[in-house]
Amino acid sequence: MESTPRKILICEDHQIVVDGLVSIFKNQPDYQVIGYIKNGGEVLTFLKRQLPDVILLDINLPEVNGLEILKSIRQLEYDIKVIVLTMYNKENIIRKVKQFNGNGFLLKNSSTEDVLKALDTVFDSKSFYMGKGVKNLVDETDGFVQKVNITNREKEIIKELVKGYNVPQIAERLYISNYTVETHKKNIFRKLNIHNSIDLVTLVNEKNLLS
Amino acid sequence: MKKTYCHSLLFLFVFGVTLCSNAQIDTLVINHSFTQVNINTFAKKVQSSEGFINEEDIINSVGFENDPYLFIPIEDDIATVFFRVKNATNEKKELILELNNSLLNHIDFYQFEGSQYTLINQTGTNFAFNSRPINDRNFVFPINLSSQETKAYALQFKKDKISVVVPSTLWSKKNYDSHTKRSYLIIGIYFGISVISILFSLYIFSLVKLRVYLVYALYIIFLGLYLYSFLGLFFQYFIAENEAYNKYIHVFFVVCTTIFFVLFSQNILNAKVYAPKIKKALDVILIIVILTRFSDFVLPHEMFLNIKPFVMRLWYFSFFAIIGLLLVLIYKSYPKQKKITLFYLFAFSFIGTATIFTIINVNNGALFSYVYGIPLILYASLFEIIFLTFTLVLTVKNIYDERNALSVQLVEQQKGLFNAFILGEERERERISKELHDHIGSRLGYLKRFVIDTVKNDDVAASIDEICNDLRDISHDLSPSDLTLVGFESSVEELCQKIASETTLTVNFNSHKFPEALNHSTSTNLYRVVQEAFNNIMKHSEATQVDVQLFGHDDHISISIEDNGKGFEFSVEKGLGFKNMSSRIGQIHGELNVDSKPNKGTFILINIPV
Repeated sequence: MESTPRKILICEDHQIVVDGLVSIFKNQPDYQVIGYIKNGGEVLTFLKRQLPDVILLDINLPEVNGLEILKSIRQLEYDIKVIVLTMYNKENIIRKVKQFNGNGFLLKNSSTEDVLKALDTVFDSKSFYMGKGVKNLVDETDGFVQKVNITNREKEIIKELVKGYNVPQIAERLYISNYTVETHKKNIFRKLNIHNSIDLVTLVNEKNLLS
Repeated sequence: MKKTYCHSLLFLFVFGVTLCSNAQIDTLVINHSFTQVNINTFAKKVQSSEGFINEEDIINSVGFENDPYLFIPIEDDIATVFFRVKNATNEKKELILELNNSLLNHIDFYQFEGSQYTLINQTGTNFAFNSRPINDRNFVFPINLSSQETKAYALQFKKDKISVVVPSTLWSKKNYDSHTKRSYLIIGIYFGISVISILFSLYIFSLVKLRVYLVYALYIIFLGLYLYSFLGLFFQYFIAENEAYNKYIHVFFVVCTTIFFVLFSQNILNAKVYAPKIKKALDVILIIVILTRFSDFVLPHEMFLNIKPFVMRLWYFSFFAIIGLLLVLIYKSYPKQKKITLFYLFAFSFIGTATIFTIINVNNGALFSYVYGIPLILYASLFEIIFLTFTLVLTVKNIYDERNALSVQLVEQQKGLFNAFILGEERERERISKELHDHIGSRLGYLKRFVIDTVKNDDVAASIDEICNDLRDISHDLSPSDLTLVGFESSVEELCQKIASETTLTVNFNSHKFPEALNHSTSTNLYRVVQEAFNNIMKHSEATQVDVQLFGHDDHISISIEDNGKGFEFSVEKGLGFKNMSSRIGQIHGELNVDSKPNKGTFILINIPV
């Protein structure tokens, strides 16, 4: 065991959560709570005066949210472990935390055990992410597909475009407005990263898009 | 007299008289080319209060006035007009004597033979209609002369304290007939236009429910009725046998006409606002008019006769006062509503001038007020009606424009209210969601740790976890607060993922260069629209596949949501859901395009400028 306890800063706007956390660390000689901040705007000011070893950071904070704070801490290159502690149990939030190099992710309804485990893990230079669905984040499909695909409507439009019809003609043939056709066309070009109908014809022939 | 000469000229000009410029007291000679003549140019008028006098007295008496019209002043209760005609041809001549005034009380028509005289006809409004020798709106007497015959006649008028003008013409039968036809044609045109105007203004009244159109219709109706009685048509065509009715009804009509004309003028010129004092003065005069004219019906006849000259003068004076006050009103109203006042002024100048002409004519026989045997006032009111109807068309246009502007404003207002409603709802949802998520959630988290650490009951802890999960879901449904944290694209992606995992739908999500940062209201509104679209798809479409695509373009972003469901006829199902969607898109200045055909799926396309 190290002789000096790890310094903890709690950024949390709910007193009850702060109290709970403080009570966890009261009996832990390895950890010492050096302060808590309720307002997101005050975190960076605090860090200028005193650097903790770890921050337990809530996301929903007044003025500046936790993700912004995390981003700033990493930009300023403070050597601090950051564990996000939140009510959000959502993959995209977890993804963001990872993206901004957070060291850990905990839900507020985690047990004392999990909190301590998280701290131990991050000081062991590992990440600790805990939340529903976190493990199979990448594998999950459930009929959800993310790849460049062409919808039926777009296929219809592409067919017409390849046949050489212009926007008003297509609008008339498909009983939709010029505006709709124009938007489809723009979207298709954007999606296929092309800029004109000639590219489209080439692409359709090469990749057999309409099959 | 120069003045009289002038009037004679006017008379000659208008009538196109071909004969008798050198008329004297003596005999009028009828030759082959005779068409018509004003009997005043050769007859002799004698006034007396005693009744009939014989031929010698007539010839010897003074008092002949070479008026262009037969005018009988208010003082003369009895006036006699004597004339002699000679047929200079060798054929029989049929002549017609027409007295162009349908309101004469009492006419005795005598024929002279030397000192003998016989009463041929006795007629007038005091007598039944069948007392007239010829069925005509005016009093008309036939005069038949055999070849080279000379006959002398006298007309004797009896009246009650009133001045009258009797334009009297002797016609050849043939000319009389064509003259009658022409005058009925003019009268017919007048009443045709009058009826069209009445129907028009009543129709407008039924649409816009503005009093001015009703008052105008009533004015035209009473004006028509007055002219109908003034021209003698009531006698001829409507309850001819009731003398009392026919004698007085025109008084009632002219009073009503005056009242409605003044009310209409006040209304159209907006006197209440622009000239309240003038309006009051006009009201007072109207009351005077009503009291004076109707005193005829209320007071005993003898008593009324005593005050009649005064009453008549007051009545005519009231007309001048009304005309004067209306001119002031026009002057005051003009700067406020130029077009309408100008049209009104045109109309007014016709009827005003004709009224002045008529009053002067009736009171001292000075000005001429008949054209083609029809009183000037009829022509004037014809033009008046045309101009006033135009004025009304103008006001209708004004009202229409105003209402249009108003309804546009109303629609805007409703849209604003709806937007405010959505915004308010969104804020409230956000507040509740935050409350649930942060406050309640934090407490539950604390509770769970307490349960594990102190009570050491894992079952309770597990159920707290479940509550926490439910709380998160509810909170997220209420307001996707992670939208601002993770961005729109990521939130929509997760929504798609969630729907794909919770339902049997296959959801394809694609994003192409979609911008990461959108402002709060744009991302919230767009997210809600996507949610709403999913709701519709799940509730109604029976689709198995949904494609959600986000596109970022140079100056706008585009979102398309396409399903393979049963689709719908767009107009049929345009419920609150779509209204909500389009309102939200409208709020962020975007465009929503919903395109659906039965069995062809539904396609939602949203474009937002950035």
